[in-house]
Amino acid sequence: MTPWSAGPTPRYRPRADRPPRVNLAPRFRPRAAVLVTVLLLSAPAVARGQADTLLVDVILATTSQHVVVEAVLTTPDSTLLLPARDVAALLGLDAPPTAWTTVAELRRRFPPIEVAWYPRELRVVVDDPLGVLPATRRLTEQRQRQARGAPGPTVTRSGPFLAFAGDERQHHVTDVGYSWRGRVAVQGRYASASGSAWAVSLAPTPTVFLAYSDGERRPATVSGRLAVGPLWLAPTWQERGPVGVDGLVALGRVRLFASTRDVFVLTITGRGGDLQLGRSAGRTSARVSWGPLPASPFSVPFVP
Amino acid sequence: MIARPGIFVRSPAGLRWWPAFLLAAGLWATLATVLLGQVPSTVDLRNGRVASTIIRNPSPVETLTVAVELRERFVAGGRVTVGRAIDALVSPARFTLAPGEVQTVRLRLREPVAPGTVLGLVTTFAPASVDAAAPGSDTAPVARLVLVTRLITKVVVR
Repeated sequence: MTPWSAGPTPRYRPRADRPPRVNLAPRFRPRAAVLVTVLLLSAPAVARGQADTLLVDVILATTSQHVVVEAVLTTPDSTLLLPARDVAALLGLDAPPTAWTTVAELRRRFPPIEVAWYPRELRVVVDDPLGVLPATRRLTEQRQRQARGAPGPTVTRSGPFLAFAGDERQHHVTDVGYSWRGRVAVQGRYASASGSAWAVSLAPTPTVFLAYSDGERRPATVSGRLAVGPLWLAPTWQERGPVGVDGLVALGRVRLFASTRDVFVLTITGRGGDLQLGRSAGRTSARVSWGPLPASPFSVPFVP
Repeated sequence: MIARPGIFVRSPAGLRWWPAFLLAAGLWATLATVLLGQVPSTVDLRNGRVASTIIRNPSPVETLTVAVELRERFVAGGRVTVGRAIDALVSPARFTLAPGEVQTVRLRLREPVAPGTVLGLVTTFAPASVDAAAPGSDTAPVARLVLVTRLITKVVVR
């Protein structure tokens, strides 16, 4: 009989009282040695059958991805051993050197994440609110690419909209239009300085965005945005002007942004830190950052 | 105060049936809850895939031990019988449920089973107190009657 089954289901407890730690550099800790010892000691027990094999659903909450793995619940200490390779693939980590991992080991390697084990539901839920796991960062960057240059995926409501803005020079601008679920929008604008203009935009899927705009004192413009997998492309055509293209490609830890406006940005993301090299308007700049806030691969490092 | 006394005068026989009817309905609802609410009647399972179901302890007072098996299922003459155990991973196969608790159970076949086959999920409920020594059994022989409930539900292989 499994000893854990008689107790109440542990509740998910947010660890807001614990300040997030972002130092993810691997280093020796005594607890790691204890964990390895536990894993080694549990191996004979698994071989002798003194453990329950469980089909556990491991869920990465931030990406909604999950995998059902054959885990082992050792007795009598009720340590849940998860197949390290499957868990690493879900979290976007490199192939691990060991065959098994545990909930405690995941918490130790990535202190900002929260890992909860629900034995009654046979679920392990991994929450990564700070986005330190590679899988979370990949999804976040993918959403950023889809939202850049287009209405964000959060715009899902339909209805008319109206906006009025002014400043101390007594200049004012009025926007009015209608948006249908963020997919189709018709917009008119009247600005006291530049006259009237109008635009129509179309976003049939989150990956594609097209827009056409024209106005009294502005040339007709066609712009678009394509965000497919690691590729982000935003071409722009203006009447009586050259075609401009902005593009970004993400390959592993490297992101390269280039534009026909002579702007280049190379971003290399590491475990907890980023390195950026950029060139714009004939000036080269670099930036090294460390912490949970990732650098934008679309922006040249700004040095005022 | 007595606005409609005729109701009680006109149908005294109907009134006599109400307590019996309410008692029967209550017993039926309790029995249905106890027997039918423990395990879903049908689980769909695909070769190589994982199927999930839930098992509940509907008793308000008694802790139950539960054993789950996957076996061949036969129906002949309106009677359901089970055959050999199927090679499958039942997770978990044995556990304990406190009153009102629910346990998720996952199944994965380890041997090929033809699509369309209906297997039997054999779930056995026994009181957890049966493992403890009966009061007074250390000084005198004690006879105990233990009610064990076994439910055989369908697992349809797709």
